[in-house]
Order: sequence, then structure tokens, then C-alpha cells
Amino acid sequence: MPREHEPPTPSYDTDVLRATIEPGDEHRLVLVGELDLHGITAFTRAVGDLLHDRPARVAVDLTRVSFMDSAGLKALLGARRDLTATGAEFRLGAASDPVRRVIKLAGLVDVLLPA
Amino acid sequence: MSISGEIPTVLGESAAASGADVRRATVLVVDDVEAHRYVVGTWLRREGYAVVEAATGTEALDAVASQTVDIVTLDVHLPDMSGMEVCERIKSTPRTAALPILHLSGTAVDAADRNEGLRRGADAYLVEPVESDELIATINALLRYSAARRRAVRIAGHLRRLHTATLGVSGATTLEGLVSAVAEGTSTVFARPAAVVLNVGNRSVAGSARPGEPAQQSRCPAIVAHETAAAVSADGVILSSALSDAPVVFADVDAYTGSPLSDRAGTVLGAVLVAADQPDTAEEANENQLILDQLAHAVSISIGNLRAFELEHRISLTLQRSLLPDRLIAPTGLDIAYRYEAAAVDTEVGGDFYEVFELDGGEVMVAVGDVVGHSLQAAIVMAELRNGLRAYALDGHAPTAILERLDRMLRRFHNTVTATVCLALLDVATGTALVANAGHISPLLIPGGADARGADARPATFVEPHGPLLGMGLPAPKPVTVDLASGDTLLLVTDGLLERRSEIIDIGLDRMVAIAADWDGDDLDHLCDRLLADVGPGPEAADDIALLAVRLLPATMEPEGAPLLLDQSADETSGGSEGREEGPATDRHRVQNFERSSREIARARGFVTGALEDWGFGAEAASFELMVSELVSNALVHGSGDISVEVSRADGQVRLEVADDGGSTSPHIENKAMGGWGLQFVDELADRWGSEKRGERTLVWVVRRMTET
Repeated sequence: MPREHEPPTPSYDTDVLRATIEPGDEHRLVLVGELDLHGITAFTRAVGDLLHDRPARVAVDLTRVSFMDSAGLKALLGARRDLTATGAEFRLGAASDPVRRVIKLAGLVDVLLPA
Repeated sequence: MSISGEIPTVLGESAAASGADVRRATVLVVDDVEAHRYVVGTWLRREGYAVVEAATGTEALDAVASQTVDIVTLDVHLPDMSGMEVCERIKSTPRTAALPILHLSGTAVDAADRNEGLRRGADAYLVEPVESDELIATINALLRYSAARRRAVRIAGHLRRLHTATLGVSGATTLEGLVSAVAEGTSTVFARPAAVVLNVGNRSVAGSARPGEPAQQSRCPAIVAHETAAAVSADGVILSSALSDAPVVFADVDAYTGSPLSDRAGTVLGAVLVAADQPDTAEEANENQLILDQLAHAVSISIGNLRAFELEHRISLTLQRSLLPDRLIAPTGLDIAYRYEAAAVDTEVGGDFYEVFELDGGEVMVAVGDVVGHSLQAAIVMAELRNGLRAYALDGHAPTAILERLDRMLRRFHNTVTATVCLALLDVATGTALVANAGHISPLLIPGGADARGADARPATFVEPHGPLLGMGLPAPKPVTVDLASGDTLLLVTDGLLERRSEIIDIGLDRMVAIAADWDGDDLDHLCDRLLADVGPGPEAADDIALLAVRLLPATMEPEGAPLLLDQSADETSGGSEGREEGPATDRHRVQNFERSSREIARARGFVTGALEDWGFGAEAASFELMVSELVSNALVHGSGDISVEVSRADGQVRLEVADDGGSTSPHIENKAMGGWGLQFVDELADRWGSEKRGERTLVWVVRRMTET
């Protein structure tokens, strides 16, 4: 949780998805909304800023993502690829049911949601 | 070619440099009097020279032929021949022509003798008695001159070979050619094994050559070029152990000198290496470095040329591809297959074309054409003819009228060019085809369906007759009416397929008919492949080839799923979930248009899930939500025009349709378009799905049976 006198956490918004970065030992990227072709703009902008900071650990919080399709999945995999390329440890934090279903449909449970 | 840096002048070199050479020299002392030989020999040995003695002219000539001698002191008076004759013989033998000769004489001493001696080739003439100082000084001077002259000859030789090597280097048009030219040129210039490694663009090539042999080369990792260049940049000799990973090393060479190679901007791209096992003198090493620098300079210019060349080549290919016939979409009611192969080695496009497109009234224009000639010139005319055909056809002209106009175009704008064109205007509903053929190979009608098999099988027949070719101002051919039954195929080819060097074209035609008869009637692409393989001329193709096969689909083949919408009468009381519906949603069909904007995808999702929930299919909403998101995203990325989404229910199933104007993309969903998973998701979630063209719209539909809960 960001403390009051700290600068506001960076946040990116389309009218479909909001992406917020919470810095810390493990940077958290919190997504709220629907991760589709329109929404991924906010997501990829946030990832771009994250890459700039070269964090050691990143977790993506998808508990409040009410929808994800193949565009969102592609963006998620791209973020994972780009962040791990800079040496960061990347994981998905909690994921909502719609997100889990799509990850399962794509056969990527072991890759994105290891037990 | 300008020489940068300084080449030492021939005569004006430092005493220290020449002293090193002089002190190791060998002097041949020729005198029939032993006492004389002894005295002179002692003086010389005291000065540090090596001395060889000869008492007669014959002995002297033997010594010069069999040993390394740097200078000769030669008595004029010898028992077997005169010293002057010995001098002449030595000077006229190519191998020893530059050997300095100093006459020493106590007897032949007057001016006439001295002049004769000098005239007959001697470099100096001293008259006895001679002081040791004067003798030594004269010998030193002669040796100095001789060494300088040898160096000048060597440098001249290097420069001549360097000039030849530079010509080879600057003429290279490929990276591989450049590497070979540098390796061979360098090894020739230095008469030693040489190697080069260069990284240009995204390719790295290493090459090596021994003098007089052609270069060998191979690809290598880019890192090798950089590491070799780094090893060379440090001055001095590079040991082969430092180049252990490079493929440029010679097994029998332990050390190299070299020079880095860079482009005009100074970026280091590699290095050139020369074997340096025999230590060079300081001045030889200096000269060699200057020569290497000149070579490196020529290489950097050549790299600039290479890059410009490759860029031009890429531009040329891109332009050519834009002239190629487009990918064709099968109009409704037809199955099509086509092939295109340009003949020329250096271009991808030629003078053949094929076309299939729908006209406003729903008829389909099918065409094949062949501009006489091939390669880029023919392709340009081909593109113009194709565009003319499209314009006149869309304006509504009949086939004969189109051909008349194309003939006029050719005569007006390319009056030395002729072309053959065959047009077929198909009415898909009735199967009637109007064929007008201007000089082209006759189309082959291959019967399909039941008529094609068995003993009573109708044979394949050519559609005749045809008129004269275009571009000559001759009357356009009248059209022939052909009736196509369902399953019949019309095959149009260009003569490049049929012609072989040693045969008349009839044999190719017969072969084509045989393949068509042998074809099982199933897959049109298979027919095209077989025609190319069995009829086509293969690698000796001298002309472009275009193949177009068009098959009339049986009218009974409906796209899957269509009966669902028509089946209004089936009652829905069978589905359990529908019985639970209580709200006012008694409709069975909803449609909404969406603008081309990615934020509309969410609205489309809401529209579909809303309908499903209203109809009591809330459990299926998530599946349809995902499917509509994929289909609408696909239409946005690959289609054009407004996007309409329709959802309807009947008979326990829900059907979703997403349509847009499609445009030039295939009506089928492309795997890559949806990031590789979109297609998979739709496939898994739908019971059935497909795509079709409806008029100008392209639509994708999915059907899923509602589960009873």
C-alpha cells in the first residue's frame, strides 16, 4: 500500500482497463477492467514504464480483470517475455476466474499459473 | 590510386637501415693471383663481410650461379676469359642482372680500359694499387644502391599486384565475392597465405587463400569478425593461438600481421590477415603495412558499394512483387486454384497473369493472359493489361468489346508488344460461360460429377475456336457459349506450361489432357500441382507459367449452419433452460452495428451477453463473450467497413454472426491474425463454425448448442 506522502503511484487508463503500478520489493502491476484489444494499450504502457525501472521482481494482479481474450493473453505473454529479458522475476499474482479459464483454454496453466 | 603515407625514396635512406643489410653481405673476390685474393679477402673479412673466392672466370660464374652473392670484385685479367666478359655474362643472366660488379685491375688501367669495363656492365672500376678504405667505401656505396634498387623493384611489384587486387575488390557485387577477392588479392600481393573475415549487414563471411589458388570461404558467427578485428588492432604480430575460434587460420601458419577493415563511417567490420612466419625487416614490415592499409581502404569503398547494391536489389524485388497478380478470393459458387511461376532467373515477375473477380451483376470474370516476352519489361505491360481488363469489365463491356479495347491499348501505348488473352464470363447461377479467346491456348473443359467417371465418361475438351492475338489491330474473336454443369472445371493455362525446347506444343497439350483425365476430380490444387510437375518443363523453363482452374460448385452445397436461421418452425419448448425464461425477451434474433473502433469490442460483448442472459442462457454467456470478442477484434484488424453482430436462437442452439466488408482479406480467419489463440478459442468453444461471403460482406458464424441445466 503506498503511503500518503509518497508520490502517487503511476496509473494508466483506457475506458476499458486501468493499470496501476505499486512499487516495492516486488513491483505489483494491478489491472482493473477488461483486457481486450482496447484495454491492452494501458497495460502495455504500464509495462513499458516498468521496463524502464528494471525491477527485480514483478507480480501482475488480475483479480479484478473481468474479461480477457487472445489479445489480452498475447499482451500478458509479451510482458512476461520483455520483463524476464531484463532479468526480472515475473509471476502472475491472483487471477480472476475469467482469466483462469482463458489461460486454461490456451493450455498455458503450467507456464503462467504454476502451482 | 593515391598513395598515402610515405614510401622511402629509393636512394635516400638512413645509413643505419642500410648498414644492417650491408654488414651481412657476401662478396665474391675473383682474381687469378692468390696473394691479391688474400689481401682483399682480409680487408673484407675485417669489415664483417663474408668472402667467397674464385680464381678463374669459370669458377666465378659457377659461384654466382650456385650461391647467394651480393657483390663481386672482379679482376679484368683472368686465365680463361677476360673479366669484362665475365661481367657481361653475369649482367645478361636475368637472375643476376642486378648483381653489383666492381672491376679491380692493376694491368688494364688506362681510360680506354676503364671506359670499356663500365660500358660492358660494370658498376665501378678501381685501378690498383687500391687503398683498403677506398675499396671498402666503394663496396658499401654499391651495396647501398643495390639494396635500395631491390626494394624499389619489390615495392613496384607490390603496387602492381595491389592495383590488380584493388580492381578485384572494387568489382565485387556480393559479400562472398568481396571476401574472395580480398583473400586472393592479399595472398597474391604478398605471395603468402592470407585470410579475411567480414561482417556486413547481418551476414558474416570468412575466407582464406594461398597464393595462386582460389579462395575458400564459409559463413561464420558475427562475433568472430569482431574478435579478429580486435586482435589485429593491437599492433604487431598476432599469434594464431589468439585466433583459435576463427575459421580463417591456416594449419601451417603460426603468426599473422593484419589490418582491421571498416566502412566509410569508420565502423570496424572485420580484418584481413597475412601470414608472417618469416620475420620481416623493419622496412619490409613498414611497406607491408602501407600496402595493407591501401587494401583496407579499397575494401571500405567496396562495402559501401555492396550495401547500395543490396538495397537496390531489395527495392527492385519489392516493386516486382507489387506487379504480381493478386491473391484471388473464390467467389460464391466457385472453387478456384492457381499457380504462377516467372521464368527469368533475376526477376520474380513475368508477362503472364490470371484474374478472377465478381462484377456488379453477380457474374464472374475469369481471365488468363500472356504478354510476349518475360521478365520485368513484360511484367509492366502485363500489369497495364490487367488494369485495363478490370476497368472495362467493371464498366460492363462484353468480352469481345473488352478484347477490342485491350488491343487498342496495346497498339497505342506499346505498339511493338503483342499479347494473348482468354476471357471467360461466368454466370454462376446458370453455369453458362461466355468464352472469348484472343490467340491464347484454348481453355480445357474437364467434366466433373458422375459424368467424369466410368466407361461413359465424357472426355475433357478444348473450347474452340480462338481469334488472333492482341496488339496487331486484327478483329477481336467472337465469344463461344459453354454450358458448365455442376462439378465441371474450366482450366486455363499459358503456353509456358506446355512448351519444351525439343517438342511441338501439341505434345504438351496431349499431356495436359492426359493429366486431366487421370485426375480424381477431388482437389483442384492437386490438379495444378500435377500439371506443373508432369506437364511443366521444370528447371529448364524458358517462359513464364500461369495456371488457373475454376470449378462450378454444385448448387446443393450449402454453407454449414444456414438451415438454422431458416428453421423458424422448430419449436423451442424442448430446451430446458428456455422454459425457465421469465422476462420479456421473447425475441429470437438481435442485430447491432458497431463502428470501427477498438473500444466498441466491449460494447459488442455487452450486446451479446445481454441477449444470452435475456434468453436465459446466462451459463453460456462467458463462452459467447469470448467468441464475439475474438471475431470482432479480427474484423477490426483485418476487415473494413462497419461491423455488424447478429445473435439468434433456434432449436436449442444459439448462432452468432459477425460481418464486415472484408475487402481484400480472405474470408477465412487467419490463424496469425488472432495471435494464434483466437482461432483455437473459437474452435474449442463453438460446436460448428465457418465463414462465407454474402454479397459484399464477409461474415463468420459460430453455433453452439445450449446445455440444459
